[in-house]
Amino acid sequence: MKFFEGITAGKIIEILLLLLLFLILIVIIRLLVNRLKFVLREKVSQQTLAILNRFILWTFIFLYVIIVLTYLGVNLTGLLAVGGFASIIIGFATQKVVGNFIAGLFLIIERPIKLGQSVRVDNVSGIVEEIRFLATIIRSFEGEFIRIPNEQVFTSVIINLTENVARRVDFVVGIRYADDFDKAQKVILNFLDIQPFVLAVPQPEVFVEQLASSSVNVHMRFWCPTEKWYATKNNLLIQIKNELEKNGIQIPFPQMEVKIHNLKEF
Amino acid sequence: MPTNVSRYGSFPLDDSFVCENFKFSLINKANSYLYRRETIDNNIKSSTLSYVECDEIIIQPSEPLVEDLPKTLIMLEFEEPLVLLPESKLNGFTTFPISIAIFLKDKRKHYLIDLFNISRLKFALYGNPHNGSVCRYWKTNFLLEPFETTIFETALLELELENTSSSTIKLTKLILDFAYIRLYYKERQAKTKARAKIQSELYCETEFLDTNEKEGFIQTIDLIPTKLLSSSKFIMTNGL
Repeated sequence: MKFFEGITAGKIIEILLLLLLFLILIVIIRLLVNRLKFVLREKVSQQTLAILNRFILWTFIFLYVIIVLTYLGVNLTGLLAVGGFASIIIGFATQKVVGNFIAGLFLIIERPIKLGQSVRVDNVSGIVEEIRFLATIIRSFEGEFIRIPNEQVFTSVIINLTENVARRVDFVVGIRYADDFDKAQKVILNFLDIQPFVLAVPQPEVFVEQLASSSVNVHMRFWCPTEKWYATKNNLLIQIKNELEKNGIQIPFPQMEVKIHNLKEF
Repeated sequence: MPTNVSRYGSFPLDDSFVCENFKFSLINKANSYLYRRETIDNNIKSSTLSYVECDEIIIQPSEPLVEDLPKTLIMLEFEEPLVLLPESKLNGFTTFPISIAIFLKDKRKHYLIDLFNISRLKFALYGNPHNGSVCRYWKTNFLLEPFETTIFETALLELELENTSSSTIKLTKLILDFAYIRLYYKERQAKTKARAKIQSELYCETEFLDTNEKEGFIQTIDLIPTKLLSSSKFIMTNGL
């Protein structure tokens, strides 16, 4: 009952005003969080946004309660001592978790990877499904669910396969020594010219890469829009082989010339 | 007998339509339309459409969009570079690729049922792979007088080029954003107009304009909704 002894009408009004301020601040924070959710809607999943929403709200409530209690003269020394001790223990226990959380925030800010992009992180290749606070979810090209801690994602070499608008395709095809390279070059360039998704600029290149033991290795290099890179790469090689064969240019088998000496000579 | 298509515009609804480069049929069956289109290069599309009471078909030239790779930029590369002397202007004409759009039309509305290309499909990269853009690619001549274009393949593009810089500029290509094109057609012709304002070797503004002579021409139905608040200009900063 001692607690209520000092309560006056003025104090009650003060408490009511603090409650009103609390409600106003909650409304403002909700508006700000909604705005933040709108800004981040394409970068972060709905699930993560919901966690972020709750985290901000509860952090605010906790801080507000502490500030109000201090303002009202409630002694928090004991609470702070316990809180300080607890935070040291929690700090040690959650070192990795906090590291992942901070890395997650940096991933959201720096955006080296985005939802839906094809990436390679630490020998894991796949499509980014979700960037959570503690981990990034990747669906491998084989359909596996892969969870990588954010700290590992952030500190690894990231190869983003779909960030750029165009990607290069390289093929090497061997032709016989008897075949005319100039003709082969012309056949390949003409064929690439009629492919809509082989970019006209930068121009495709066809050149001799190596005079190998059984063949003249012809290297072809061209660019495709990233959206069409995979399909183009998969479809064109066999079509180039067919086109070369149609024009009398053959892809040779490995050959070895064997000379048998007359044993009497030795 | 199929309807012979030798011009752009409206046609009474029929079961089939034929021209030199493509044919399509639209058969009303069991409260739906069975649509089938075939082009000269054996590109076939067939689909079943829900029924709407229509009495006309519109065949019109449209923005050179490609369904498989919908980009709104186009790179026009000139067969021979154009040389613009300091603070000078050059007006002329080039070809511009178009797509063919087919609409079903009733008294109030029109419904896009197909979009395809007869003109050559090719793409190019403007800039570098990281910051650049993939554009539709078109190689063309620059002529000083208007000329006849090929129906269903190209439109006539009137070009106004202006070099506002104090140095001579060699222009090999132009990048235009055809989301803002104003394309007109009449019988067998399609035309549009664009401008390029070159401020330096590293900076050029391009945009489509409204053509001055519209007599007898009909403006095409836009396939890309116009963005009122965004700029219709494209800034070329990756080379001319």
